[in-house]
Amino acid sequence: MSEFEELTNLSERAVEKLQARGASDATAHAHLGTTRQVKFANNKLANHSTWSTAGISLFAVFRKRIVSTTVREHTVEKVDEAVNTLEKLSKAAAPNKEFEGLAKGPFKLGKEANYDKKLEEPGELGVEMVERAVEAARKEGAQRTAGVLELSAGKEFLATNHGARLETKGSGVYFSIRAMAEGEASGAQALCSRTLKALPLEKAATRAGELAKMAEKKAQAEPGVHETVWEPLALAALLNNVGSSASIFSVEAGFSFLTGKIGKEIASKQVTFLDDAAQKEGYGSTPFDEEGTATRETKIIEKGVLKTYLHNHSTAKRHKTKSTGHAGLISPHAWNLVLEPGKGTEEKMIREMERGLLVTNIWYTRFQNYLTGDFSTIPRDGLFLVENGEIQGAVGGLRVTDNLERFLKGISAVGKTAQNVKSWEAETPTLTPAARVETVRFTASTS
Amino acid sequence: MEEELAQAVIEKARSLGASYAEARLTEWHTSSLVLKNGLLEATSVDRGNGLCGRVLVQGNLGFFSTNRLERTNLAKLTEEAVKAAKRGVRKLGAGVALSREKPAKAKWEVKAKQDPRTVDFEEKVEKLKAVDQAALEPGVKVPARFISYVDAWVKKHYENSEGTRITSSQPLVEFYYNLTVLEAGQSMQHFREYAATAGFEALKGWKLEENARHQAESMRRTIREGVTAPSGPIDVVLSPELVGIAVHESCGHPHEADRILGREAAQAGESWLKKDMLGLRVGSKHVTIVDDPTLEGSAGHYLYDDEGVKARRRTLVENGTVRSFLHNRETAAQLGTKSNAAARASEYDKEPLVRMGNTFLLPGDYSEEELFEGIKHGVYFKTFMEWNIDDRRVNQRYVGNEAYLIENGQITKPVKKPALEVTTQGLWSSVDACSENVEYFAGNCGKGEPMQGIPVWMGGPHARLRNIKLSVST
Repeated sequence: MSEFEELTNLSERAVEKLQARGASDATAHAHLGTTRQVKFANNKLANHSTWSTAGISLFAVFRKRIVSTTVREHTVEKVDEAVNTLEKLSKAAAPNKEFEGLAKGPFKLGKEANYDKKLEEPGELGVEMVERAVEAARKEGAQRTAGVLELSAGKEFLATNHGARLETKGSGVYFSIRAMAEGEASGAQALCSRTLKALPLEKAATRAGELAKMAEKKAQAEPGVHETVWEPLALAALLNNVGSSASIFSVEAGFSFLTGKIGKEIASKQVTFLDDAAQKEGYGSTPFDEEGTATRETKIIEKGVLKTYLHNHSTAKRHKTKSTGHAGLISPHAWNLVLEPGKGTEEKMIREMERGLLVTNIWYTRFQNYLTGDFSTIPRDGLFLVENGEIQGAVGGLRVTDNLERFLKGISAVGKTAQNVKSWEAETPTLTPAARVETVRFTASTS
Repeated sequence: MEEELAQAVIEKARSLGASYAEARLTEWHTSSLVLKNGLLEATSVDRGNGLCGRVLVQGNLGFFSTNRLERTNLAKLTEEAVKAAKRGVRKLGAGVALSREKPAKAKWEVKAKQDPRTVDFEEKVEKLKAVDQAALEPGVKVPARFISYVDAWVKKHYENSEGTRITSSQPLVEFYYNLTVLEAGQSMQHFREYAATAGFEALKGWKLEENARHQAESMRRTIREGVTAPSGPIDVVLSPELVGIAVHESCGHPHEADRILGREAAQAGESWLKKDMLGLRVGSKHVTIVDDPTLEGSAGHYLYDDEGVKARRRTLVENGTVRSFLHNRETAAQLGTKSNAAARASEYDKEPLVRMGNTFLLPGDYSEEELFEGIKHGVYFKTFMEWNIDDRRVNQRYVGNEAYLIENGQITKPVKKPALEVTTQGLWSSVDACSENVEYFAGNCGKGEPMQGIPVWMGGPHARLRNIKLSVST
């Protein structure tokens, strides 16, 4: 019997045992996988890591008491011990009267995304890819490069006491590169895919090098309101905040500027924003959510109007709607966010700009108030001044200090070519083109 | 813990040609609770074991981790780590070296007065509910309340091929809340983190109910009575909470030598400090900032780091001058010095990176009253909500949550969202006095890829800043 089959059998055993002990709802979610990472810095290989993990996450509800644990040693004894632990824990937990149960089925798989078998045993591939990337960035004038390349493959199995028995396998490639040139100039790219052939590694490295070289030339821009163009890496980071705000859990817990705005206009008409777990090359794609509901495309914002929050079965029932296939058993969440492409191009947006700023990356987004959406974030890796349609040089020391709804309403054009971004700031993979955003407020240090 | 597994990994790695090898076994027991708007959303426990190994082959690092501790699996992964490191020999080799450190053998532990593993869950749940109720007590409208609690007991066994063997055992308790207050059609939010290397008894000292109640009341008052912040230049007093976040962000992080040397460039960023900047003046003579993991009970407490180096207090800035950087063995070797025990890994499956422990500004000799007495017109930042800093750690922003006007030495009206947006040298050069009391605040510090969140303390005394220009947040 393979290790995965062992995990599958143990998961079924756990669910049956939990139900026999009186759990009204129970899930066992098994995973087995390996991720390999090549980390590089200063054009050198800084570390080679291999993470090998296996486990079964158990979730159960006894008389509206929600409990969970993880089994990491794959024996019948450990599974039975975990079942005992959960039953005991439920006696100490307080009931959650709002819990409405897990999905009851019938269960079927949503669409399966692409899978790359080469990522199971990539051998020398990771190092070779990093070498190619470093060379591509240096060719553009980067003096130093740093980043990571991650290659992963694994399997998942979900069993629930309502009859779900679902299995899938996944693979992924994640690549981030930051290129540094003279005088603190830098450029960055971070992207993901499910297969090697879908990841434009050298193109991204070339762009990072190009941005770094461009940023060597300096320019001045004052704090205040500016017209802007946001490249996909920067935009994905802010869109991640829109995605997490769409979770009903965020709405209820006070972490969402979308609270109370279903059916209202919260973005410009150019904005159609969705979550798509069936994207063929979506790093976060999955055919089923954590309670077995088949995943599907969900329009969060359509032509500027907020259409739905992201729900699991329980939250949907409580809000008199249907699950959107986003369990998260506790907190529903997005899988792959998508900003629907428009008709523009980044080049045209820049060309048409009389005076404004091109934002290529941001970091450290923090909210003064999640409910109102007041935030600030810091451009990094090339914030460029554009005058009369031409990039003049890189600007330093500015911070975006604005409001997320105001930002979305300011989107006046969306590009037609999207990039599949995943980064430190955009943890949820996000497929997005560049966008033009009018009147973004910038501040700067005063002392 | 099966310590012989660590030995087996080291022996295997050495037999395959690694010049250096280490293994870290971790055993953990955690429990966590989430309360949202008074209802218990999650009650979890987790017990597990994991092991990681790190090898050095001709200047190239290989790392692996697994929670499958069968010997055959460990041998296979050790082989893969050595093989992966060897690839670097032929390709873009790193030239990694580790500083020479005296091998250490030690066992250390922190005991809890109230072992969180034995505290009834009912008691933990009651505590969360009590804090939730406290926020509502003053009759303030707090429609969204998110409260979480985590306790952990972590045992580690570390050893390396140079003869270092360290075994440790320590508890950790953490508490977090985010409160949303609505008043007259306006809203305000505030979060606060608490953490200590201690047992459940630590919660009593945190005054959780009192603080939650106060925060709710204070936000309502700010909405009702708050005035716009004067733009200045004016004088500012930063509370220990504000001083804490500022020392962490603008002093602790840029002193991390792996940032200075570019190893974390793509993720956490680099540093405005360069390797030859020891001795540079960055602040006034009143500014001495240290990092000290040996502080008992602190969130960032350890006696040996995750490379087996003995912990000690590090002076980062002394009387306004850069005195030392934070090092692990890799960065220390690069700069020709010794590690000062800053290598920390957040979990069993993470490589150790250069991290802070507990970073704080040392106190001065003013009483709090004297600090305020010297100000005719100013702003007192007591708590904050929004903050950030650029990836070289120069331009930072802290927006006050609970903040007050200072008029003729007295704290008067609440101020709405005053924003201190300032450079690192601008900030620390403006300090003209510090109070004699130090307080610490907990935080979860992020770095690395995959992300490693580690518990830290940060703090200091009240600090007075002269001639600061403030802005009002949107």
